[in-house]
Amino acid sequence: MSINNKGGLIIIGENFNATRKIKASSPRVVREDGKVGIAYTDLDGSKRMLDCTDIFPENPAEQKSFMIPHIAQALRKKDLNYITWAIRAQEKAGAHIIDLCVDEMSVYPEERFEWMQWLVKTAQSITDSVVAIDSSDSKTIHAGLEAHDASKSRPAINSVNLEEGRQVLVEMATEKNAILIANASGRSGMPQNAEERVANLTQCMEMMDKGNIAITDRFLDPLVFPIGAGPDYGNHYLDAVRTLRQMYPEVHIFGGHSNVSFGLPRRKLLNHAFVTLAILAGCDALMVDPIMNPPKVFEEFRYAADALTAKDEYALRYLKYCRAEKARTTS
Amino acid sequence: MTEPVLQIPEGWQGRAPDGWEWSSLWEAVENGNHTYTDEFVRKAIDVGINPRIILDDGLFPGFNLQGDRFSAQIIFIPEMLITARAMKAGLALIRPLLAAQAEKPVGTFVMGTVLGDMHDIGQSIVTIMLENAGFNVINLGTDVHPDRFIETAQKEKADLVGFSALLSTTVYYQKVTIEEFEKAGFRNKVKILIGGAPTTQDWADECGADGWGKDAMEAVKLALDRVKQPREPWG
Repeated sequence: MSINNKGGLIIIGENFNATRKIKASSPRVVREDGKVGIAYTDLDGSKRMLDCTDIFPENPAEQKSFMIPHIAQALRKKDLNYITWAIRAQEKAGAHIIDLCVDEMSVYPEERFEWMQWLVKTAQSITDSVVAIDSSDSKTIHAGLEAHDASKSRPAINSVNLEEGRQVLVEMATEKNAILIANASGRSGMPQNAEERVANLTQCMEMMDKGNIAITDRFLDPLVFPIGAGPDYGNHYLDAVRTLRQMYPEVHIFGGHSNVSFGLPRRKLLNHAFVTLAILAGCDALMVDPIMNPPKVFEEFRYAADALTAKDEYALRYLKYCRAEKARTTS
Repeated sequence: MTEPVLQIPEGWQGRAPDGWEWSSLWEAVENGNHTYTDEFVRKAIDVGINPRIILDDGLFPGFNLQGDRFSAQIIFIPEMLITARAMKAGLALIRPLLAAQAEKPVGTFVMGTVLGDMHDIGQSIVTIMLENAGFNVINLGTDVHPDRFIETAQKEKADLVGFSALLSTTVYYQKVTIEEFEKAGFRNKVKILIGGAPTTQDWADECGADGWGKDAMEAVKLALDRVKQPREPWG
């Protein structure tokens, strides 16, 4: 079954990535019985804590600026309560796909393979959602796919591009009937403008044609770069989204939108505006941490915007959504 | 934290013609006004001020002020970049004059992103900052094989080599590239610096680098320090 959320947005939950960090000053960080950890409320209502005492710096000066790598910590401790929470809370917040990335767990490939296999099995024991096996190393993706149980859910692969050694992922996707994410990185470097993004992704589309990947199983990521480093980077992305949407009306298009604000103050303000612009340009999916940044506001924006601009004729999808929401809130 | 202030070069009046003033150039570089910087530096060259003095007394004060503010997180990358652009406009005019009077660059720096990694934004910012600080930078781009780093370092008689890595799956090649320098017998001829979002001082220690910069300004400070440290000469 393809993932489809006609009228709304497809949410790729990015929170299960070992790079994710929480500021030590966050209200989620608590001290209890001489331990330091991250407090969370299980979906059954019980209060719990992910123990981070062993990685928390002793020096008060360091504590201030410390960032807690909570997902990596939960993995190292094999804290199944926290892992279950981090996956289920994303689903509850609207994630359709749970992205899994262990690249940060080790610089050594064999150790990453083991982590990915363990995590895929563990995640599938927790959820029937699609899990995206995400790595910048094709072999780690291969290891994850080997551990994946297709009888529970389809896998997704994140991601193919034109870089050397990545094309094999199309074959893997065909073999495993996987959803396939493609990004706009080129054979010899990052795309420098909208045209290169479109050209690179067009080549990926051709590769996916050859692999018989269904159009609705394809997700295109034109790549978001920080506007702090180049004033035109926002437009490069948005222009590419517009062109790709015209070329491929049915394909899914998304980006890691929060990259846009890297290095600037009040990132949420920029991120919010950028996601809005991206939806207007033609994005129908978001990669986001849905726990910290609930995507519902953007879903509702898309329903409303489509009705306002006649992309949703006679506002039928909008009305259907409003009825469903009313039924949900009154029941 | 104390707010960084403009460091006015001591005795600058004695190195400039009577009635000369630099303050509008200091301000132009600080505010990233590259057209004014270009015009003012041309004027300074026309009246015969030594290019070394234009650099030290005219261009660096505003640049260093913004650099200190950037390090203190008072200003942000775009503000640093427009100052760098103004600095570059001035340098473009005086660099040939410095070369003509046989002024050597601070050092030769071979820069690149490691094998398997296509990220170029960070290392190109560091390149601009290093050039502004007076280095001759040879930027090999992205996805650079260890052999290319080694060949280029040898050919250019590099003082420093810097590898950027932006992926946790490619930082490993920082270590591999350092090992290749060792195997080639060149490890003690260069100082090796590393950087990139997933890297840390601990990783720099583990892979045997001579330094780690957390951002572009740190990288420049590090380079200016390490270039003074003793190395085996290139033959």
